[in-house]
Amino acid sequence: MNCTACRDRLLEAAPAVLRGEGASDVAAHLDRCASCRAIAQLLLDQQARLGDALAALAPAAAGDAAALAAARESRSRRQRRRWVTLAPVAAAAGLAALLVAGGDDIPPQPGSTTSPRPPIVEATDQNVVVYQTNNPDIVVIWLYPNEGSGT
Amino acid sequence: MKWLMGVLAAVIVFGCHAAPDLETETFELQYLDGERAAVLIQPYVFSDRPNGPGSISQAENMVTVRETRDNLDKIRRVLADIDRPRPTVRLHFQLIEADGAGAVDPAIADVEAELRKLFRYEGYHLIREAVVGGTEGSHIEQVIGREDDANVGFILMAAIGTVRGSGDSAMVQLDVGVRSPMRGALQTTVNARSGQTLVVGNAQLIQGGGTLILTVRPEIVD
Repeated sequence: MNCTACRDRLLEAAPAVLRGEGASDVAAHLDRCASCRAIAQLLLDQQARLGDALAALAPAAAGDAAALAAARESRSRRQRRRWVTLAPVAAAAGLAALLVAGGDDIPPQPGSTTSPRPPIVEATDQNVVVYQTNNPDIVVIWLYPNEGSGT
Repeated sequence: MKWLMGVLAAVIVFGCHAAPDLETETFELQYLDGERAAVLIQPYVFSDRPNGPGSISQAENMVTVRETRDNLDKIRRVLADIDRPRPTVRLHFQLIEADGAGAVDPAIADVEAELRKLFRYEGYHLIREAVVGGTEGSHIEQVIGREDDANVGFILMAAIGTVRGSGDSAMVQLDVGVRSPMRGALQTTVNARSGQTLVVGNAQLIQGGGTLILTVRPEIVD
C-alpha cells in the first residue's frame, strides 16, 4: 500500500487502526511510514478533541426540579446532536484538507472547531476551509492545494 | 353591404400590416461603452418586426436606435438607469508571514489575535502593506517590496469583479493573489463585504520556511 491509498482510508479508519494496531494493510503501512503515522496521530488528536468538546456540552449538574432537569437534558441532547452533526463535517473538511495537502510538511492544526462556509470563496483547484472568527469583520480563508496542482 | 364588408376587411388586413412609425435617435453614454449598452437594450429593439424592424448600432460611447417613439422613450429611461459611474473600490492589502518574529505587530494586531486562536504558528510579522484602487471590472497588478530582488519582492494581483449594494453593506467579488518567484504564491476568488478583512493563507510552506498570508480589506469609495 502506498501513502495515497493509505491516506484515502485513514478518514474511515477505526482508532485502533490509526494507532497501528491489528493486521490490516493500513496498520502495516503506518508501521513503516512516519509521514502517514504523523497524519494518523493528528486524526487521533482531532477525535480526542471532539470527544472533549462533546463532554463539555453535558449538563454540569442536575437541577432541583425534575422538569428543569428534563428540559436541560433535552436541550443538552439537542446540542449534542447538533455537535455530532456539525463536528464530523468540520473535522472531515479540515482533515481532508490535511490529507490532500500531502508531502511531509504537515500544516499547523487549527486550535478550535472549524465552520466551513463555502459561499464566500470560489476555488477550483484547491481545497478551502473558511473560519468564521469571533470578530465579525475578520474571516480567515485557508487554502490547501490539491495534490499535484502545483500551486 | 358586401361592398362595406370588403372595405372593412381591407382596412383590417392592411391596418394590421401597416408599417409603424419609426424614428432614429442617438444616445450618448457617459460611463457605459456602446457595445455593452447595445447588449443591454437589445430586448427593447424589435429587429424581427416584419413590417418595420427596429435596428441598433453602436460606436465607442454612443448607441443609435431606430424604433417607435414609445420604445425610444423606454430605451432612454433604461439607459439613464444603467449608465452610471462604476463603483470605485479601494483595497487594503497586508502581506504577512507566519512563523516569523514573535513580537506582536500593532499593524496586524486584530488579524493576529484571530490567527493565534486558529493556528499554532510561533508568530506573525508584517512583510508589506499596500493600498490599491480600481473600478468595477478592473485588474490591478502591483509590485511590492523590491522589484529587482526576487527574495523580497512580491507581485500583488487584484481583479475587482461585480459590486453589489452600496455603503457598508456593499459586497464585492475579488480575485486576489500574491506571487513571488522565490517565495511561492497564493490566489483565490472571494466575495467580501465592504470593510471586512479577509485573511487568505496557504497551508503550503513557502520557500525558506513560514507561511504566506494575504489580508485584503475592500472599501467602496463613493
